[in-house]
Amino acid sequence: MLKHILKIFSAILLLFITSTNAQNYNDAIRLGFPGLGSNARALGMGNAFNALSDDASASYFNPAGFGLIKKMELSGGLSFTNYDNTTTFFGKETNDNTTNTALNRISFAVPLPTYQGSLVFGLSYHQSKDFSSIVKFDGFNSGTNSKIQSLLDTNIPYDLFLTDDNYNTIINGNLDQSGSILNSGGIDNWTFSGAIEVQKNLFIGANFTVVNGTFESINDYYEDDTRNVYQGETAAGEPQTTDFRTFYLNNTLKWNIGGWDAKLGFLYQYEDVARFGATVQFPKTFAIDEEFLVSGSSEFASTSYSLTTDYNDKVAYDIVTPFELTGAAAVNLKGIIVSAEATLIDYSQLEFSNSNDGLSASYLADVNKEIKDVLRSALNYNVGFEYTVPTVGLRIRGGFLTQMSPFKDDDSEFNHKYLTGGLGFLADGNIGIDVAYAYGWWKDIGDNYGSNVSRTFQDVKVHNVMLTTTLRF
Amino acid sequence: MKSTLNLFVFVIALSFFTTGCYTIVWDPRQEFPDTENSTGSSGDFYDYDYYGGYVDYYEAPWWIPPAVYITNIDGTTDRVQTKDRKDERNSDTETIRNSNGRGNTDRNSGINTGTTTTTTNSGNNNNSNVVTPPPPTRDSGTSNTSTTTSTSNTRNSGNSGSNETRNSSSGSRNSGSGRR
Repeated sequence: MLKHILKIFSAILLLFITSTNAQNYNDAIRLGFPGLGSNARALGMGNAFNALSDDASASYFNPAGFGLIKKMELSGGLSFTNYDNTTTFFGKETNDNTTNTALNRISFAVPLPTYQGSLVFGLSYHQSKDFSSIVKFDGFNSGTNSKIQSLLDTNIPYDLFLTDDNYNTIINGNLDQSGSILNSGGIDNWTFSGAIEVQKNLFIGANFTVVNGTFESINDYYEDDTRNVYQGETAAGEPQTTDFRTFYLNNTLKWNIGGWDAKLGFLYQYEDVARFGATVQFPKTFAIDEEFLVSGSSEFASTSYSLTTDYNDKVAYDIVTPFELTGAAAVNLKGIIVSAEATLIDYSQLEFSNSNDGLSASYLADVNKEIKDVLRSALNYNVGFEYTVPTVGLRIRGGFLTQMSPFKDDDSEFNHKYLTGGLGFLADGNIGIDVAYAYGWWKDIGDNYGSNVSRTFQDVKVHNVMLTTTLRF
Repeated sequence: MKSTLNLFVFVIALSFFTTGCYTIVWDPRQEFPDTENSTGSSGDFYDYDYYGGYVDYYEAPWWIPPAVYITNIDGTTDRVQTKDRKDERNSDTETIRNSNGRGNTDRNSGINTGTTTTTTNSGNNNNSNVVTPPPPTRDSGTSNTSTTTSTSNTRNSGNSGSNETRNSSSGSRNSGSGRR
């Protein structure tokens, strides 16, 4: 009876613990870190497009650019992403990749007829972020630590007969650890934009975006006694637990994402020589409905156990991203456009809020404090060029962009870097076809538990192909 | 967040109410914007010499007819904006069109659209509505043309200078003329 009461109490305790430990700065970064946008012309130029923005992708880059659109425009596009991750885990390399193909944009722009100046409105759907990623690892941890031990403050090891009745375990590291984390989903934006020429060659634009999206992270984790270290009873007094073989834990995190944001943009065109752009991305508010699912099992020589207690958890909260300030310039050198921009994002201002469903205000305050301790301001750079061959209507593009790591202690190898290129072609004078390729590379780390005791060192390479078709009439 | 929204609305409102007057949007109660009553938007960023067909793609408003590009012999390019064609010729154009040559006097009032008869050596007669003046009198004695033309149209009779000009584009009609 006492054991039964203890189990119920422990389950309640676990619910609280899993609730209070499920959210952290990684969740905030997931939403605050920029994506690659949805315009092949821009991507080919390293997304240095803020000062150009003369198509409907202005809703993503600089809404003031809508003021430069003089024809009605209907555009759409596809993107293909291949995320390749080579993980080094206790000296052993494991490689895996995941791919995703998505419709990433449908936009419509309507310039109103004017006697002077410009007034343009736009409606756009675009995918601002692709969450697709993967980590796969497998290695022998010869240290005296394990996931089982890290979970001793929960009821999971007890439920799986990995501890005795006093929550003590004989497991003390020396296990083969393996698993994978597969992430998927994306953020979709439904944007209404408008821009007006307020002085000759000076445009102001703004947009309002309704956000929705999903995120799913499936985390499979195994600890195997491959060296047959644990041959006796794992749970004292439970002979069926003799000869521990495997511990398995699955965490699945599901988000339904809603929210809104707004952006203000300025663009000035200096004759046919240059354009200058600036944008203020106001904080984005994401409303998260989270579901956290837990399952697990243990295997011994003669039997196995699975988690029967419902450890699933549902909470709701908001994540608010910081302001993003961008300054940009594009120079027109007789057929060659050279463009550059910089964006300042203070990740330490990422914030959890609106703890009205399952999370305490004090807990979120602690998480927000941790964010300020761990994250920093980042300056992202984009540079690119475009050369037009006028006789055949062909455009050749190249670019480079870097998205600085938000973590205070990271050096430059953790920055996301992309080398990009692209081609554009004009068919029948009114159909623009653009294709871009981006190669991204960076390093990352991840901890299965604790800090730097079961760490994956990841070498990420991303291949992204984007196709955009634009009809002007 | 509320303060952010307020700031956003304030900046937008400020931009519209203080400087938004530069843009003059078409009022449906007034004439539709065209090349004559519209100065359009900003200056061109893309130049035809370097961007070719992308210029119209980016720079030509949909409510104004597209530009025509004429490439000169020396390779330079002239951009010509075509005019809006209207059903009626306006009075200015009519004045210019009729400013040269002899005007319509009381004697020649109205346009004679009478039938013109062309007789060839083979005896074929062709009827058309094309007003064909007689050849200049000065050349009539030396002409070895194989075609004899007579007309009932008296509107341009005696206007030999005009006749030469008009006939210059009539192809082989005057071939074989003794003046050549």
